[in-house]
Amino acid sequence: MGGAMITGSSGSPSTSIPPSAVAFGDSNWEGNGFMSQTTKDTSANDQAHWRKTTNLMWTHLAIWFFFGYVIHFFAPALNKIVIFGFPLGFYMAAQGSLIAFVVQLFMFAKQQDKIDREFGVAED
Amino acid sequence: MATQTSNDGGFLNNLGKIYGLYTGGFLAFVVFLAILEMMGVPNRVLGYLFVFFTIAVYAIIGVLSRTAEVSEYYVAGRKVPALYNGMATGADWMSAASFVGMAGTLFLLGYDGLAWVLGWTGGYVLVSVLVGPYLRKFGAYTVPDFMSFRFGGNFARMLAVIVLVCCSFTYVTAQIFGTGIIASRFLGMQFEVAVFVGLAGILLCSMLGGMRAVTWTQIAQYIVLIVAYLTPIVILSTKKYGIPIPELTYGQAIADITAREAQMLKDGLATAANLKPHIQPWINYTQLNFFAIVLCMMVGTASLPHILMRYFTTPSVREARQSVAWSLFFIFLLYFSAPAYAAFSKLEVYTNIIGRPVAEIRPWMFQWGELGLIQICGKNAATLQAVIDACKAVAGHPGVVRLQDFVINTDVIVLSTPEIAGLPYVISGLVAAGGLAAALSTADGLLLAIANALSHDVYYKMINPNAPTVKRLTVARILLIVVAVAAAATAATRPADILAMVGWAFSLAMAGNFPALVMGIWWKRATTAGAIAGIIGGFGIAIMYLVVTRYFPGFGVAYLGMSSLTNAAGAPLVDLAKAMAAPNAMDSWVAASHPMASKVGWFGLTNIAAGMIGMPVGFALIYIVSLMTKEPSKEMQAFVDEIRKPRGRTVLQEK
Repeated sequence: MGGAMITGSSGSPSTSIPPSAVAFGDSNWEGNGFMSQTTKDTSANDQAHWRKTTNLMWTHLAIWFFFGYVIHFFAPALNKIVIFGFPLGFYMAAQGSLIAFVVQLFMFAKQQDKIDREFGVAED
Repeated sequence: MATQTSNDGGFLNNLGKIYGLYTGGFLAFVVFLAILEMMGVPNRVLGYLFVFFTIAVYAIIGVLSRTAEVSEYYVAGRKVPALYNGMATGADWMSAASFVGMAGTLFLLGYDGLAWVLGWTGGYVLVSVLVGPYLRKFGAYTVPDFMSFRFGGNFARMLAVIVLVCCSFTYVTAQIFGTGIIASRFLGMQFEVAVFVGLAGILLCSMLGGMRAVTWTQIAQYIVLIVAYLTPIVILSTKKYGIPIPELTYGQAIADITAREAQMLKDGLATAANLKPHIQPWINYTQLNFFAIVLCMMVGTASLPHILMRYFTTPSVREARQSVAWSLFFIFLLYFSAPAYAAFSKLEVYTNIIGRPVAEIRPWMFQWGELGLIQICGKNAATLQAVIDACKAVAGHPGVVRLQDFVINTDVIVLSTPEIAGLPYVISGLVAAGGLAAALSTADGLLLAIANALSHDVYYKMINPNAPTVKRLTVARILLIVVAVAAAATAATRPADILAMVGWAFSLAMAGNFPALVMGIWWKRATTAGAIAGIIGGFGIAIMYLVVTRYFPGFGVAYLGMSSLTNAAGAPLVDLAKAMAAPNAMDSWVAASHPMASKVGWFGLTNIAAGMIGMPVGFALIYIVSLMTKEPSKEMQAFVDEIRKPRGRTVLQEK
């Protein structure tokens, strides 16, 4: 946390928080620090970054919804297909969807990081 | 801080080596005990060695990780690598209910039990996509920190603390209860004593080092619990099918179970009414409740403070995301094996108990029968003679065990598998140590979440903002002990609803936290008034639904338009006309055995899924009230922008 614990008035919207306890990244919003780049360019860049992030969010929620719910609506029908003794409907709820969630999460971490790098907002 | 970091450097750089050595040491210890067993050391002694040795190791890690620094105490200095934080989260997540109870639930409910498997894994997608990494960027110590900052101060903080305490306290009580059960079963201790022994173990791990100590012990506990969970079933699978991958081979067991079910019906060993086919969906839960439970557990996962705060400890936002993926991977290892336990046990019961002449049943069950966990013909199956006598007393008993004669407590499934497989006692001891690790690690995480909220949010942020570091940490430790003792005292009274309460915790977290967290991050327009209305409304209606359906069902029917829940076939669970005419209809704080308790509700929704009612109300209120109030200040909107970008300092710079 680098030592720079700047205290003092921070323009915090919640006045009930004592200024000594909480400080924004810098002593004032318009000063240097991370708010210094609030130019039009950065905000356009930020918006594009957020748009892509939002799209990725919806994509992954759709995958999640499919493996969490949609496929299990068809469990009785899928159970008629049997592989290695596993009825497919049972298998999907016991293992298939779980595997999908794990793979999805590793992919998500990668994809979101790629987006962050593309817009220059990733951590170094 | 600089010296601290360089001291830790050696440790952090060698995590792989250290935990590798630890795992090797643990396996050597198991082998050593196996040798002792062969030399004739009694089982009781082996059990004690297992339990005390593992608890001692956790305690040593806890003491070595003691700290006097606030950021170490609350967020482990934010330097836990993704993979290790994943393991710690796995242990934090998997409780006694997962370790011991899950397989039993699957045994009993078949397909419908998979609602819990799905619900307790899929939620991590929501954690990673919607909430966790953003809270990491925000830089809080606790979830209420975020609520307070985003939603205008201490009133929102107070609400968040209330939600946190409500959902975490019942949950931690259940964990301490689980510790007591395991210790009393394997060590023959009195339950009440076992509860306080477990408590000592929990406090030793967490008190001196807070999050830092809990993190490094949870990793150690994860290793013990996963080895313990997989060992018996891998051996069983190898013995039976020649392949050491139970997750593959139990397909055969399921096929055998299905064939055996048909045979049992044909032979009159079971009736269509009492036989619930293992693979058939929606015969124990209605379809609505199945999916409602899945959703509540998933969303609850993404709202439970003790899970979210684990992602505050990673070095970066990127690692927070990776860490969620690792968490689910480590959890998955256990959850996708649980159905194998259930299938192997069920096959054993259906082939080697049901349909056997009473005189020939297998002896492994007598130990559990003695404890009252297995009953045959309505009596504890403590000895062969007891079973024979009990069945003789049943009118018209054919002398062969039928499905309706056999009752098993779900906890037995995992605990008895080593004996069913004919494995030496040392494996049973290993399983007990694993169950204990699961219960202790979850209890640690929960206690820390509660004590941190009380010490950081209530004491430091609201009561005494000028408290020096030493005093803050002292208060944190004292509160930890107070909460722990209160939870143990509650657990020692054996509250009746303890297991249902774990399900309720998820629903309450979902209703109270999820809308405000998600809207606070994803919608800049969300205002303080909106969030406060959403938390109060959503959480309030969920808790009202729980309390009314469970404790005041008559009131719910008479004044709130509640009706009877239905079974899967669509028939009502209670005859309301009759139940409402009974003299006890309007009783309050009714016992679980009351004819209407937890059997009434709206839309046929079970009260475990109360979050289904609370969450939409929460979202709607936040949306509507926010639009009615003035939009948040420019600063606040800039702040929301800031948490959406991983780069840069954390928004909140805690001291």
